[in-house]
Amino acid sequence: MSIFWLASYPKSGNTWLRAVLTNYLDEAGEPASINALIGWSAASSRHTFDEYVGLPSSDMTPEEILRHRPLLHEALAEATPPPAFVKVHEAYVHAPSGAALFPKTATAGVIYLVRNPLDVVVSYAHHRNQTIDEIVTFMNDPTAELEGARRRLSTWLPIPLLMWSGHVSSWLDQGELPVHVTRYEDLLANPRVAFGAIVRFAGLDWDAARLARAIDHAAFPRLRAQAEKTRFQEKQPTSPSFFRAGVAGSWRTALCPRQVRALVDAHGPVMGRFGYLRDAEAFLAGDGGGAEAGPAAGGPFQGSTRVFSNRQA
Amino acid sequence: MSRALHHYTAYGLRVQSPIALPFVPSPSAPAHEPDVVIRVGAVPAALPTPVDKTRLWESTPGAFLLNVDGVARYLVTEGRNILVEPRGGDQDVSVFLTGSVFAALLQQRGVVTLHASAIETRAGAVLFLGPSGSGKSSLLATTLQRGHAMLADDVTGVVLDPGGRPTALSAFPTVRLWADALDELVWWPRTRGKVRENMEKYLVPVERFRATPLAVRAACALTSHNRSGIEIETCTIHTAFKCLLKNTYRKRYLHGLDQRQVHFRTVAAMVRQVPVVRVKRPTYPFQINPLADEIERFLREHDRGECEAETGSPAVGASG
Repeated sequence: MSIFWLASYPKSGNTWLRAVLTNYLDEAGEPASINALIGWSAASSRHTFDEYVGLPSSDMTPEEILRHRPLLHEALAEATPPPAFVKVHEAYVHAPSGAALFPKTATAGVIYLVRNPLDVVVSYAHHRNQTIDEIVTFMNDPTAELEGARRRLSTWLPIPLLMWSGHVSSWLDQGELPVHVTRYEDLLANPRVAFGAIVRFAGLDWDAARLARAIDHAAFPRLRAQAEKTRFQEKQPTSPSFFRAGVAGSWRTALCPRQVRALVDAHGPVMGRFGYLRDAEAFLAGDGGGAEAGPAAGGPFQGSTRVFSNRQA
Repeated sequence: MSRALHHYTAYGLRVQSPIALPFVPSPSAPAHEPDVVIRVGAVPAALPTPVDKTRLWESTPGAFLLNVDGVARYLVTEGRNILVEPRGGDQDVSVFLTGSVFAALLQQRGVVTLHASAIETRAGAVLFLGPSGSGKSSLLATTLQRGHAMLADDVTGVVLDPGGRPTALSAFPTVRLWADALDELVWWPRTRGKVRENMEKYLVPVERFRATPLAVRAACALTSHNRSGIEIETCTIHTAFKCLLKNTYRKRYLHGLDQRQVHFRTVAAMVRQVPVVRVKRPTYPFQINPLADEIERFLREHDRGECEAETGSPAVGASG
């Protein structure tokens, strides 16, 4: 079978999406456990790589691992019964051989989540327990990767991330795989419409009442309460909590103009494409950028979702 | 071009190889026929009738074929012969030969290949199980510093002895450590070499090595959690069975080799006789000494408990 990749830059709503999809598929009276969500990052796990590829990733160079990632994804797709969802923070990059890391043959589609990078930086700093400036530098680094340490071994494979806008463009402009892109802000503003479009894109049976219940079961306060009560496995040990605020616009009080400027300078065109630029520029111009929490409508990115496909590309 | 032949022992097998390996060298030409013969030559492109086949490897009862791009192609037959067609340097060829390829050979011989390091303790072999990156080798190095002898790093072979007891095979006296882990072991010999040229991972020779098999006393599965503190819990037989299957090295090779039943039988015997515990440590920071302390404490208490339970039985420690 083939896989729907749940792709996003970190801290862009991926876990929330997994929680809604899990509850939608479960159809249970109770909210699903956050430690048993569908779509875990199987493709980024060293253990999965070693077993599916049949070679020891810990004896392989980062380039050799990258070269074998397309094979891993094909083997995973073959072994996973539908509906197959796999979370990935990897950018859409190519192996040294020139082959795409996420091959067409392994892919049913890409569900891409994008979030205002000004909010990502706030959430990410909290998640990694680092300063805003450190995260801004990381998000502006075109060579950024996760788990990329070369002197020790992680249970995860190296994850090529690129800079924030590079990550977004890599998935949206690749022209090979059908992509359904959703803004985090639209999941917040109108969850039934935004999650509904994702459910349809993934080809799941459509049921509005089921979706309403799934959204309710995965409501932010519930996720946070469950994470605190049951010790959410995906929280970083250094992070105070995984689910922080779940809102849009907290950057206005958390970032200084210098930090906003640094992100706008690095990612302006992509921010503009998703309607994130106007508020940032208003903030920098000193008028506070208006009172509304989300990005203004009427920008180049209208409506809550848009489907990119090979035909459209 | 003919190459000089090396003679080694590994996993209790006499190995003859034209390629230098980190196995135990035999002091003189062996009196017996080797158990395993490694040759260099042309490896066929495919097996005639593979039962299992992926893009990189194929298997069928008695034969296993592996292709490592830019390194070598390997053919393993009848648990006895390894044919190698090198495409890269000997160092790289040896890395995959001692890992995936030797695991396939052991599986052909009915040996259970666990993803584990193993040490000798007074009460028997203790295995540290876990996937890559879980800390098996670091824990092994730390326990060696504390005076234990090693049996194996990374892959531990387990068989049932004639009495049906699970027994760990002695592998070869080398630990493979990443630079970070090595930094903490300043007194280690400087004769180490890199596992591969472009990697910060080193082959460290070990003097304190047990060269004969040893009955398994306990298996500790290493996992991590995002809390503080180390937790150790004993698995039920059911979870122990699942845990050993999950930590089987190259489990996916077994089906085509028709070795799954043998594997299940040995693992089932093992969980009935040997405690399997799950050891959870904080993901970060990875502090190796507190982990070794906790495991040693747990094993001491476990042994004491067993002695008390068996008081009055003259058969303590005797083989059945």
